[in-house]
Amino acid sequence: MRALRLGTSWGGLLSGPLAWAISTQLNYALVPWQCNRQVPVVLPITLLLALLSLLGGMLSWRARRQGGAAFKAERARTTEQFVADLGILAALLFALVIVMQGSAALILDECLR
Amino acid sequence: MSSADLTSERDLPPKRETASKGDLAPEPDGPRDTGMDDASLHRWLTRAWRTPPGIIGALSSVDHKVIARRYLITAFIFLCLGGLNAVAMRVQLSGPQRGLIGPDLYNQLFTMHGVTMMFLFAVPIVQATGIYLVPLMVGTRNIAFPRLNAFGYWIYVSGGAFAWISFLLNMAPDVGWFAYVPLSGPEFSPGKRADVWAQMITYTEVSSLAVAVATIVTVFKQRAPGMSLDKIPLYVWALLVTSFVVVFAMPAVMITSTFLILDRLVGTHIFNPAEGGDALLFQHLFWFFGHPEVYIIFLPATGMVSSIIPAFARRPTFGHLGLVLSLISVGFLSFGLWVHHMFATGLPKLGASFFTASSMLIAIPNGVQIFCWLATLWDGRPVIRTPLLFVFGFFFIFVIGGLTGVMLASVPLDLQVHDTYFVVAHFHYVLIGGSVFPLLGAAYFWFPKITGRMMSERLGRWHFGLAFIGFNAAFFPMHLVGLWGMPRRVYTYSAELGWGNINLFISAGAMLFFLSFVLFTFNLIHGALKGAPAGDNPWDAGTLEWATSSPPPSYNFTRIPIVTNVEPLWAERETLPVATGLRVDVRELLISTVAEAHPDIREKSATPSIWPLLAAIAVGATFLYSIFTPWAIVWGAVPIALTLVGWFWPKGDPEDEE
Repeated sequence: MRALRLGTSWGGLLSGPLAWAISTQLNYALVPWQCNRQVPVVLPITLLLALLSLLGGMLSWRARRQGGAAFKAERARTTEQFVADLGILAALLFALVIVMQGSAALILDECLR
Repeated sequence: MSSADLTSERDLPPKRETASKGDLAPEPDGPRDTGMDDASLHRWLTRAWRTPPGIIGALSSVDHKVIARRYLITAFIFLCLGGLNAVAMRVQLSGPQRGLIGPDLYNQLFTMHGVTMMFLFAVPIVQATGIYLVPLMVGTRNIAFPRLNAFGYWIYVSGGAFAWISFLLNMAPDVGWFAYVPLSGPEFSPGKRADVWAQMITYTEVSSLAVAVATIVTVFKQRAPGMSLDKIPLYVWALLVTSFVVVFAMPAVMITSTFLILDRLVGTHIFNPAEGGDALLFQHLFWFFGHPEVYIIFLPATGMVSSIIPAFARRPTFGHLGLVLSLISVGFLSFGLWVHHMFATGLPKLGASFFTASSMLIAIPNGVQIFCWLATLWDGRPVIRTPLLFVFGFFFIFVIGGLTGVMLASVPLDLQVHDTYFVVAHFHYVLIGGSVFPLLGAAYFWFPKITGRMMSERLGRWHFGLAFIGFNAAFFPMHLVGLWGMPRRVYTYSAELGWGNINLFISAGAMLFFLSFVLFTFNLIHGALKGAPAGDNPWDAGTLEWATSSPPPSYNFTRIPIVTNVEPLWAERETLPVATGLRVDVRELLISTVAEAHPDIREKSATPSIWPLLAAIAVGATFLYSIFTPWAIVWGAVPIALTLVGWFWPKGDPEDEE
């Protein structure tokens, strides 16, 4: 809870790439499944994972504003802020990639080869 | 000189001389560098860190600079050999129906060209540059795991020799650098050629992994005090990200080549659809490695560009944060593009489009990098010297390669030009523009540090001009001939197709490009023998490798520097603050914390040893033998185990006894 309250500087660095990796693998594997059952799963999963990426970015944002849960007095504030900035930007970038990937489901038929 | 003493009260050194203790762990009572004058310090450190004389001494060396120099020279030799392959192919293709080279030799030539350039030149040379520069840039005395690093070099040499001796014996792989099944499988490639491909991969990947692990640990744990994450030089960031990409990508191709060997030698059917296997699995596994491979080659080159530009623009890099973000995100995204090499395999269009999206959006971080570099130059006072000329060449060529890459990320266009010379043009623009041009710039930039002498600026400018014109003359028309339909990997074509004149032009451009490398070689040799003395910091650059002499002594730094800025030599113009308190009679390193690089503990560094060479011979012989019988793994395990036991035999360190 402390991590949520005070933020975690590396939150976006973890959540962005992780959500994107899950999006790539899961959606790629689910295309044949969606084709067979005609249940649209790609788009909702995409939105969920984009949200996951952004949530991590929010933790980085909080860490930037409030110091971060892991911050100790002997550590340098600039290093923590540097990691938090990387986290915020990474979360935004990977959320964009995830949304772009998923938006293909709006245009293309899942059974098209 | 300001300094921070790492010595604590309890282990202040009594004045007692002790002989060098080799592998013995640092004891608390040895002489320290605290208060020692420079001459004594030099004498002590030279005795502790030098490579022993003689042949055995040379073969036992674990000095990162010695190993890196060997890597660089060996990789350069492979570049020459791969380049000669290309020259032979261009002579054959310079006109229709030329009879210089037959189809069988041509197949071996293009395979050896690709394999050599990718596995024996590009990856090793970027890693070698890292082996040389990373410890200097982070301000430490040797790379982490120096014996593993030496082992990596010997494995690499044996893999390269294995491939090229096979070529001389008319046994070189002839299945293309990615050796797709079923062509490379037992049915369509009898004999040993495809096995040579598979096992050569294993050698070079083991070597790459060893270097990657050593680099990661060096960057995380051996940075000079004060070099927190936000003060790490961009080149070091690039090598760190690259090393992680190596660690996660290389195992995929080792699994691919091992599965292929199993299919060919043991009779498994992993890639045989007729027996329940999956031919497409080969492509997935290979390209899961193959696409990150492009970035393994490209990312260190961006690090080089990020070092060269501030030195000549005379200002720190614009957008340091953005550049670090770009490196990290490109490292991740490189793992999500592999299917764009497989658009022609009939995969579901929606699935393929996920990879189109990633392929297009990787242009964002790459674009951020280009923007930051241009902004640095824009806001600086650029001094145009040869390294910067090659960076300009990189901008021009790589951006064209990137644009055709965005075109190829689109499935319909990719299907039209798949396996044509358009693709050949694209990846040469990306790889030569994105990696070789920065490497050439880096050669001019760091040559003075490595040799202590300058390369000729005049010859350098001629070299750049020839290389730039030759490269574009050779590869730009390939886009056109590809769009006209000329497929790659054909040993000849008929006159009626009308490709004769443009191919003659391409071959002429290739010769010019080749000549530029002849000039470069001359400049290298001339510079090493007769170049003007360089001094410690000929470019007045700001990173730590320029704080020591050229070439650096075996111990790199007389005293470990303290870092206060991302360009420490610019921030501390008068004298660099230093840390003292390290032992001088044994090989001792300063280990620091990951995020802030606070001095943490003192740690020993391995002494020279012949065991890495012996272990590499045992491993290399096992790999070689294993293309003939699977029992090689069983018999080879014995000498490998013996050499590893020798390598890891307890040295009587107090730490080991605990």
